[in-house]
Amino acid sequence: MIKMKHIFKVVVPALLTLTLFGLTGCGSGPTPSGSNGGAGNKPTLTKLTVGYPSGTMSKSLFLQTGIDTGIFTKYGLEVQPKAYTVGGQVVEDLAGNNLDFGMAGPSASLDGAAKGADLKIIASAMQNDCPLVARQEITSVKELNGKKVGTPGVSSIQETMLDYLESQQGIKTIHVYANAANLVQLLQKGEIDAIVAWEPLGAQAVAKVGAHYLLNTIIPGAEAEDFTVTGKLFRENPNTVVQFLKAAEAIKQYLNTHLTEREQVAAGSTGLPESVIAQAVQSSHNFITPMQLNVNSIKLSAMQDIASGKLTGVKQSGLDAFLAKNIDTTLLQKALQ
Amino acid sequence: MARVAQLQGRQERNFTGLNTKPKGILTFVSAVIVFLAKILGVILLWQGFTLIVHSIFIPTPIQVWTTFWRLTLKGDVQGYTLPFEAWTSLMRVLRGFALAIIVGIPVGILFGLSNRTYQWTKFLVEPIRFIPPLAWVPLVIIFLHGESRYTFIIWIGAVFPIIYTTMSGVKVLDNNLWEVGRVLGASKWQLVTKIAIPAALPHMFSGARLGLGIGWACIVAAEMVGGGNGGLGSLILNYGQLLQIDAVVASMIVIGMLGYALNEIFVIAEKKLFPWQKDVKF
Amino acid sequence: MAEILIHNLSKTYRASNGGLVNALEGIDLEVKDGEFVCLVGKSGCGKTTLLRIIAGLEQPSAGEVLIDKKLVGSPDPLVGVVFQEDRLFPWRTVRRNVELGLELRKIARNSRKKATETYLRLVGLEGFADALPHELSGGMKQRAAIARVLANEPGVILMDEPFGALDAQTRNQMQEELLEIWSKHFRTVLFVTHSVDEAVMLADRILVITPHPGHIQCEYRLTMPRPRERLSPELIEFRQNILADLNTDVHST
Repeated sequence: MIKMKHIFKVVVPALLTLTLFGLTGCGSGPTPSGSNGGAGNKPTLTKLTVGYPSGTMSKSLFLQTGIDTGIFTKYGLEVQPKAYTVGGQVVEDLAGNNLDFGMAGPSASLDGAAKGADLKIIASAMQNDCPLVARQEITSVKELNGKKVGTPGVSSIQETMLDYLESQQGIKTIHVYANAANLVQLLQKGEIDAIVAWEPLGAQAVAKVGAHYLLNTIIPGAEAEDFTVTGKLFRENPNTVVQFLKAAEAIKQYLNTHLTEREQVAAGSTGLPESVIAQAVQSSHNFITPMQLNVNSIKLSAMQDIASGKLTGVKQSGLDAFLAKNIDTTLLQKALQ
Repeated sequence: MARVAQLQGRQERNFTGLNTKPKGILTFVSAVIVFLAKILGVILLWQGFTLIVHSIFIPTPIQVWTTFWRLTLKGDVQGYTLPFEAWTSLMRVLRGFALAIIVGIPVGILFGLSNRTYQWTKFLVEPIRFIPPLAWVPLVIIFLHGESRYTFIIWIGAVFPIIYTTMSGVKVLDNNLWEVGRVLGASKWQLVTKIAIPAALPHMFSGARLGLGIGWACIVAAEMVGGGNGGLGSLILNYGQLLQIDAVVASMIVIGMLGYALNEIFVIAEKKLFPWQKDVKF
Repeated sequence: MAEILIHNLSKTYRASNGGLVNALEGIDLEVKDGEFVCLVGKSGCGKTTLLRIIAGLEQPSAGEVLIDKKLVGSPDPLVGVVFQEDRLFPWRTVRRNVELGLELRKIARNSRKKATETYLRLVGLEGFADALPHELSGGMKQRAAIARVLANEPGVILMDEPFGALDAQTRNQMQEELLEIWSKHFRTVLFVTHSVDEAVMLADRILVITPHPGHIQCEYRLTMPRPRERLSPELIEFRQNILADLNTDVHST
């Protein structure tokens, strides 16, 4: 009995304290520190957390280049990349103000916005990046009718683009969702017949499994991954956002001039052959300068998602107003001036 | 012998006395009312919670209810209805569970009878037991194909509780019963088949029930493998990615309820089959 | 014909503190065919150990046990044992518990059934053949256990305080029933008990066992007819003498 009392006296309060700490720890995510990130003339850097879907080239090519070359620092930013499995999770953390910046497909961002998350899509991070690769014996898109096509998840832009392709071509495929990393495996085992996924998965499927590109990307010039920020950051620290976009533009320009060098670095960090990275970049033209935002393609994908029931809470009739509320390129214009 | 008859008579009355009926309709009605009140209480707490927390992602009870019916009647983004998803998951779990019984019970009996076998294989079996089913996902994708992947993940989750409860059931066998077998002239084989195994049967059943529960709880992990169609686990993953948390919560409730129902079926069966077994069932 | 012969039997075992304990020493015993012999002693005197050795459940350290002139090394279905606990198999009905010995010996189903019915009737459990043990009272369970042993038709029945866990009334009744059964099927019975009362009601012969080490202190022959009157002067005298013998041990150690 005495021992029991001890347990109650010591253990229970300890557990309670731990629980409280745990809870508060969860509640207070990183918050953007003040907007003292002027044009690099101040020694203190503004910390920014940036979420990205692991497996895309957002980290290995884009963010890593910005960090390695000191471009982010030059614009007064200290960027902390944070990996997520899919864009949907990036948006979830943005909505909870646990992230400052997100790189996510427009489908995922709009899903979040439709649920009432305070988000702004501000610029294109990557365009294209939606290759359709198939097993050797499939030679045309039409042949995919009734076949199994893998996509990296139900909220991915690749999934939306596959829906779009089907409606355009008048075909129907069986969608198979899997972790992006597993898609190539499934193709190799013949469990799926084609993949619509981000690069370098397309290039990997070609190199490893002997698949071939049916389409380099489903809609050329369409948005694949956008910079999305919390409404809070957008309103309270527009300067920081502009600084980030300026840095992003600089990184993309650097990438386009130093591609081979950066591909080597990416090959090193991902463990993929350099040729696969090069193939991926070549077929997708991910990094276009000057930066822009293809709003039409976002609208197209949103219409597709509403039709397929993936985007709920928005009607076709209210779509323009919805997009106007959640897409804002004014800071992009400012950054490009 | 007269006293014997007298004693019997008394016992016989006790016997039929066991089957007395519940006190009537009134107790039943009050039980239903209490149950409904409890449900209502939970729903009110939930509603209150959504009001306090005020997160856009936390759905209200009514949202979940309407989503539940939408999923049941119209289906999800891929067109599969909730009953179909539940059936798909159930079949996956039952396949893995059946395999876990086929492997777990003989292995458990072997371990229970031969401590040497257990000790010799311990170095291999024990560490595997502590690898969470989720950790097998990458390997499973490489080595297995199609539905067998789900079967494996469920199996690995369900098989260990079955092995270990069967083993302990055989091991804790009352030495008293073993002796009765010996003095009545049982051979070694008869001791195992007529005494050890029947005596361990309630334990095997409990182990199976625990295994089924864990196997069922592994369904989300199993369906994270991807590459298959349908299932409550993939429903959760898909709607999680689409940020439609009402559908996620509806699927979670269905998983929870079905798991509970499966467990109850086992508990009731156990009480019917092994009425002398007085241990706590959960 | 079933008789028990024991020559110079002793049993030593190692106690948990490492020392050797003499549980039994120099036991010589002869039980004749059809005789009802009680072993009486206080708990810990070694009487149960002796019974277990005769049953073949334990090995003697020295000496030998012969049943029908055959050396006992392991349990034999023709030497029946009734334990203090009923030890019924909870998953088997009363009928199938009684049938168990025959089943293990692979007796044909028909004769199995007949024997089972006979012995269930004998112990008055025919109405409970299909009940499970947990549905029975303590006395009924013990009767089922006796029927299970009888069904094997053993030449010798060893009983280890079979009524020890029962209340006084049931116990008296069970003693009467046991004698009734025994009178119909004269079998050799070796009955272990710590109750002098029980022994004088049942036995042809009582062996008093005293501990440290366990040995046969003395022997009483009871020739009164059964059923015996519990409060008859003869029985009271026997009881007093035996109780006195049981206590001599206190002085001798």
